Amino acid sequence: MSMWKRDVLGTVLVCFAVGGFVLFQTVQYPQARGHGFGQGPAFYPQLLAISIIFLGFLYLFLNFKKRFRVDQNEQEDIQEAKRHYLPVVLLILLSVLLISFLEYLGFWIAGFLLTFLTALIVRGKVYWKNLLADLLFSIGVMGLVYGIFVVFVGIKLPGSEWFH
Amino acid sequence: MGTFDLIIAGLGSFSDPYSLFLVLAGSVLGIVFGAIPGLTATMGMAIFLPITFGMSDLNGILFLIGIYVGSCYSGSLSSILVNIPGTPSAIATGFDGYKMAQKGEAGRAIGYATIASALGGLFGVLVLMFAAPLLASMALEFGAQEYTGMALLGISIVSYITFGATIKGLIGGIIGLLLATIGQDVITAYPRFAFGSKNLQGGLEMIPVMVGFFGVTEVLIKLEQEETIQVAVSKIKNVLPSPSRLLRMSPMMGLSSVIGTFIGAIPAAGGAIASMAAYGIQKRFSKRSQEYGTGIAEGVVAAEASNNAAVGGSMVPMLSLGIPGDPQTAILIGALMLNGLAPGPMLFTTRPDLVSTIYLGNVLSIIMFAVIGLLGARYFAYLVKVPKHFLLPGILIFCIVGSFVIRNSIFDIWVLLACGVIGYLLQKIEVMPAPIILGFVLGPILEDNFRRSLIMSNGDWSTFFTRPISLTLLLLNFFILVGPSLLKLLKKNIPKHTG
Repeated sequence: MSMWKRDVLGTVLVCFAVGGFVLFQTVQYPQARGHGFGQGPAFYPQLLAISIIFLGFLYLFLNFKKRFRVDQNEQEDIQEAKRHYLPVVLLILLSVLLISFLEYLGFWIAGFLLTFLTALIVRGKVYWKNLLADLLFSIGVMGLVYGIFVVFVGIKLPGSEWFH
Repeated sequence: MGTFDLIIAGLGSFSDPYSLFLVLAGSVLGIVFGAIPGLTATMGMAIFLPITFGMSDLNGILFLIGIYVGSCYSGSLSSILVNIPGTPSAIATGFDGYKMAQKGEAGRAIGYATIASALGGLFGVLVLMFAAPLLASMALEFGAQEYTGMALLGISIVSYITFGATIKGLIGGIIGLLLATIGQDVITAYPRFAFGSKNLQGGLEMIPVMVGFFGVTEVLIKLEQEETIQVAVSKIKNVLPSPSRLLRMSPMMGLSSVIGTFIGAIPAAGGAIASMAAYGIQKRFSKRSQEYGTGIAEGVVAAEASNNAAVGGSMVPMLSLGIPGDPQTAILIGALMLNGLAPGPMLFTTRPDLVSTIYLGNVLSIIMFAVIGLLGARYFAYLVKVPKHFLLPGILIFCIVGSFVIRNSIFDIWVLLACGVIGYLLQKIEVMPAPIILGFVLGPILEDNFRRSLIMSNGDWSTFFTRPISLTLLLLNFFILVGPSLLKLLKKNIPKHTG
């Protein structure tokens, strides 16, 4: 059975999702009067939404004839890709966690943890001999941030609510 | 004000040693960002833009121009040494540059790249000095309809040239335009897509969005890739090119510079297109066309003269119309706007000192990168070998700090992360960041002028077609988007002669 290429499905879904969401939101916006055709805050976003939905249909139509089976090679590619998503997911989760606790930890602690743990995620494996290098690197980066942004630019970065 | 008067007006900016230091610092940073694969000029400018808050507007612009110009040159270094272009504008440089490095001529390739970049860049600035005021005086005749056409042209061109289908570029452009609608409506002040949030009501700040799409997205992309970098040579020597050979190549350098400047001046075209076009044209008409791609200096010179000339060219629409010539000039526009300045034709009369600072800052940056490039070539191999586990965390933390310092707001860090993740996911379906960012930057210009045109004409859409310049721009848009497909269709249907 032939299947749609993942890229085509993804593109079309994005177009319909974005366009549909914008239309759904903007239908509640007020219509302005007195400009000849009722132009209001919804007009321009709705025009863009209709355009992106149209592009979705156009892309679907243009690729209609090109759909092909998902073959063995692509299956292997999919397996390969799954393995490399893990560091990405870890980094996103780590960033969400640390930004959520930024006010409590303060920039310097959160920033140091983010730098150090990101270095570990990028390496992929924890080697004890590299831990010292990563620690020193993280301290160095925070020092550079301090020098550039606090000393040179004169910005105050957020302190910690837990550790005054 | 004439061009020479403008230049005199700006000379005063350089009497301060601090200004000269900032140009040097910017150039060095630009060389570093352009040389390291994975870092780009746009990323460097976006990350360091917040640092300019502590500087005067003139010094801030000088610093950013240093980064821009330096990185456009140094993208060639990693292209030559490891066959990975440091910036998109250095793709064509690698065709011959890497082959030269493999033959043991890395130093010579870097030398030719440096000189060609410097001369091409100077040519581009010369054109900028004379063309920008001319275009600015014409732009005073532009109305809302013409600015609508120009903004659409920028999005059309970047969609056409972006990797992947033109449709993907347009989708990215529209997503950028939609992101720009978040916040208060320009005409009625009604809050759009705010969901009750005061932060969203104020709209999205440019820096977190830019840094998110260009910085964080790249970090995530690089994180999932396993790449090992093989440097072609460990020792770089014989950097200085032969003067007689350079003289023989001067007509070619001149032509590449003209091509680069012209293409750079087209909104959203940029150095990548300029260098590919110049390389292709030189290859086509050269007596040594068969040797292009095998490792000849002419290939390096053709690409590099063009991509640095495009820098001056891209600043022509930026200064004269307020329309970005490429993502880097979009950031320069952002820097001007953050300082309360509106790029466009009025800048020549309200701030001639700023305009001439841009001219002279370009010239100074070019001189600096040329000197650094020729003297420091032997050390460049170390730059391209910075390991990922140091590079990526460093970029990430600078992205976060840079976004935070705009408004001292943690909300902007969330915007940064959200844009980074969205950009990463969109790249999976080959929707690239460049059209998204150009859409975001051009969004307010497009919406404001488009709606004003319709209000002034009382809803009559023919207002865009009855003005000659506006009609020309719309036709250009049409040909760029639809023309190539129409041509293909025509070729298919034209019967072939047989016998």
